[in-house]
Amino acid sequence: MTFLQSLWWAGLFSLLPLIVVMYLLKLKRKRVIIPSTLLWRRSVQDLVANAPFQKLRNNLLLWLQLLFLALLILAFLRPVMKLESQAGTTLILLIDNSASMQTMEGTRTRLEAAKLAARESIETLSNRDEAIIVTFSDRTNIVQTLTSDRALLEAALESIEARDVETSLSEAGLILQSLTSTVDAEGARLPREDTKTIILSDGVVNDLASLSDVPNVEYVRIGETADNLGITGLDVRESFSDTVEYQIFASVTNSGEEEQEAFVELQVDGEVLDLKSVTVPAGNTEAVVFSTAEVEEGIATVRLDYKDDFPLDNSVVAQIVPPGEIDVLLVTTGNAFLEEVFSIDPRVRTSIIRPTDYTPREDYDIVVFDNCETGEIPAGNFLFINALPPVSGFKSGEEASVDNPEVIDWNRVHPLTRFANFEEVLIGNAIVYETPRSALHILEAVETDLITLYETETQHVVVIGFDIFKSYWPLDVSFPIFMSNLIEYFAELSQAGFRPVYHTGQTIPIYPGDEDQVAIVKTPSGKTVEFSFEGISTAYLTETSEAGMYEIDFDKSPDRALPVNLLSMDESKIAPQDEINIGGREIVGTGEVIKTNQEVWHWFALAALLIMLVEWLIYCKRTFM
Amino acid sequence: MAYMATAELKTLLEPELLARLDQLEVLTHRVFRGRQKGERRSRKKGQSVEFADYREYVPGDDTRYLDWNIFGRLERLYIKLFLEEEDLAFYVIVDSSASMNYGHPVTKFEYARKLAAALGYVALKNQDKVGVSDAKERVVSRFRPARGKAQLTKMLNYLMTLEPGDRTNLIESCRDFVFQNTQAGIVVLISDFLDERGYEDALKHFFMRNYEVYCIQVLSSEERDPTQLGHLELVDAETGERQEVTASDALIRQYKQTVETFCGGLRDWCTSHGMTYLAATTDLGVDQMLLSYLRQRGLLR
Repeated sequence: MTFLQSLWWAGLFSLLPLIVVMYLLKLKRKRVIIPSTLLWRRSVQDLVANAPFQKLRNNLLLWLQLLFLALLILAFLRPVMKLESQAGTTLILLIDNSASMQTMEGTRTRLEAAKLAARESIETLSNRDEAIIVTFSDRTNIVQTLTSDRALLEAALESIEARDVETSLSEAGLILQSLTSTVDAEGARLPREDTKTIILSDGVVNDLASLSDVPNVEYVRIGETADNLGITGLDVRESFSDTVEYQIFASVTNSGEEEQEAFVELQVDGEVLDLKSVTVPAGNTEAVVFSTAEVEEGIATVRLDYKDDFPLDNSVVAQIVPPGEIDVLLVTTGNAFLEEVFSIDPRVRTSIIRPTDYTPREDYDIVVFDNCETGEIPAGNFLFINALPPVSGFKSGEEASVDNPEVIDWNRVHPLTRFANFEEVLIGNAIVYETPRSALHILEAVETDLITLYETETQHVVVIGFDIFKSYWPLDVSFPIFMSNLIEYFAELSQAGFRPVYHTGQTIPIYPGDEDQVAIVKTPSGKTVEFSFEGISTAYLTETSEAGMYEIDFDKSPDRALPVNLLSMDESKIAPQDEINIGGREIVGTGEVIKTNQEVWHWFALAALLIMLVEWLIYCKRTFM
Repeated sequence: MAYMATAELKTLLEPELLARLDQLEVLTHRVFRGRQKGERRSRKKGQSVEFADYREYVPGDDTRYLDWNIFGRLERLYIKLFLEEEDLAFYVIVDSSASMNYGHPVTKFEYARKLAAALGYVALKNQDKVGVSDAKERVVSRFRPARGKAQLTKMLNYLMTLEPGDRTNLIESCRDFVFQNTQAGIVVLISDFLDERGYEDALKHFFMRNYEVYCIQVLSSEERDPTQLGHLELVDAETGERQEVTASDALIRQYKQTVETFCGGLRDWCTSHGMTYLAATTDLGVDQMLLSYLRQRGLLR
């Protein structure tokens, strides 16, 4: 039971001593000595104890008592007053449960404050009103479908938990759009005026600008705090020198308004290895680099020794893995660029054979076919350069090749194109080919695909559809970057010296060993998710809403750890946003929910109390008896 | 005047009243057996001037009562029988509990005392034997029955010594009285009859002795018709018991009804048990009470 109207309670309870005081006051009576009270006593008794029923007399006390009871009953029925004439009958509560909502505001988190505000708006719903509760973070979740059952709504509200993930409203926007509009016969959207939308958030990314007009939107800005120092970037690399040395990069962002100084601590397997001081000006990001040659593997934790209201981004984890070896087989008649680019990475051991000597083998991590085709490929990772793989779906186009294809776009989110910019790449000639439907277009020209990725359960094939010698690509910086990405991508697939850093909310692939049947993943908070590998070679972990170390317990292979971090500049900037843009309209945030219904039972209770006092006074006088 | 100054006694019996009382005498409706020869006709044949009958002489009779005229005529000895005159026992019980000490300008007690003095005077003057008792929780003191005008001063002195106080217990008082005064006669009980225990059990004691009982209920006018209104805390003069009342018109009406019922109950009880009831209010003069009401009721003639 909660007392939302705490101020009222305090006020009403302070009246209780008043009654006690009034009872302490005694009616002053004139004292008269009489011979005997015998007859008086009889008279009073006779007056009181008459027949069991009597004619109802017009007694003021009676009326007062009736009024008192009526007021009490009215108060019990919780009367509400409509404050807004256009108040909606459908209430849409959008509640942010992203990472930044875990910021402490005083004694409670922002999420708790949002729940409280949401509860207030639920409690003032009338029986005919409906409400829906939707949470949004990196994904959108309808925690309670449309209902007028307040108990269900409150239970749903209670069940909302914060997620250590970024904020996105785009999915929620679609739900909002469908709830707040109707479509007429011509297909035009008409806003539903009987809806009311309350967005409870601290900083909503402007995903909703593209929505058409949403009626009756209210943005409740949760939180005040802006000061926060957090780690927003992390990378673990080994330095390319003779000895194995790791470099751990951490970016520390200060989203507050004053310069902050803090210590950053590096722990590996719980042991503090290094401590560095960092001074971050307001609104800036500073990098901290740790170098260590002491450890070869372990779990590294970078911790910010700084107390703020948002502790989630003060600590990140990473895994240090001993450098693995990546076996690359170059099937080529000679390609200096390729040999050079693979030799940069100290992990890579390159073997070169002529195309005629190639027999299908599975013991290489990457096999590169340069300007040559092959009859058959086994399971594994393959790169075909200026050649088509022997996979159904890949076939030459009607025209065999095209001259000077123009790069129009590339897949910018794929790991293969990370940091790579293909704008300056000029290509002399490219083969024209068709790809299987499931192939991923990595680099596209107007006429044909230049780079494609085709993956099956067992085979991962990248096709570069042009002769790199007939292009300026090897001279462009994107070439070594792309090849490096390719090595990293294939290395991850073959688990050779792979060091992942995952983000919260990301879907993480789990590759089992050959004999593994089952894997149990334990989240940082101790929840477990079980995977079975019967018939599949890769499982996907989607429950990655918590930041920290995930442990994978395989039944055969050695256990593995997955570091998952928030590492979000947006979430670390915890200052609540003053306004949000919905459908091109700026909605200014309010500090609290604007109530549509105002409960007025307190007034009835207060009136009942006053009536009771009057009744008591009159009873004491008893003049009207 | 061994005990009191005459002036004080005169407050009990004013001379004007005395003059009028001289014409009165106590009337009985029953014939009582007296102990001493008195001025009352008795059922016993005895010595008086009023002839009753003759009977034959038997040895041992007083020869003084032989009727010699008859003997002369009939030569037989007859004794003249006379109606014997006896004295009348006249008792007055004065309730002197604290509740009687109430009333303005005359308290109920003073009123009762005056009434007792006047009645006693009438009785003594007529050669009746007069006894006076008080009545508190018991009979605390009494004026032993005596006759003759000479007793008047003593009786008045006794009445003057009475002080109202203590609680009423009519039952105990009446029982004491009955045991102390065995001679039958007229009993006048002057009281307000305001006793928690009721009056019935008290009055029933009088049946033991075949008294002729007069109950004079004295109430003050304030008691019969209270004028004080408002929030009152009533304190019982005897018990100290408190009763908080708000004297509204309705309650006053109810109270008057209760008084009426109470007095009517006493009257009816007395009537049905062969007793005579008289209501007196302190503002009703004692002389009017004696000369008018008591005469009407047949106590005085």
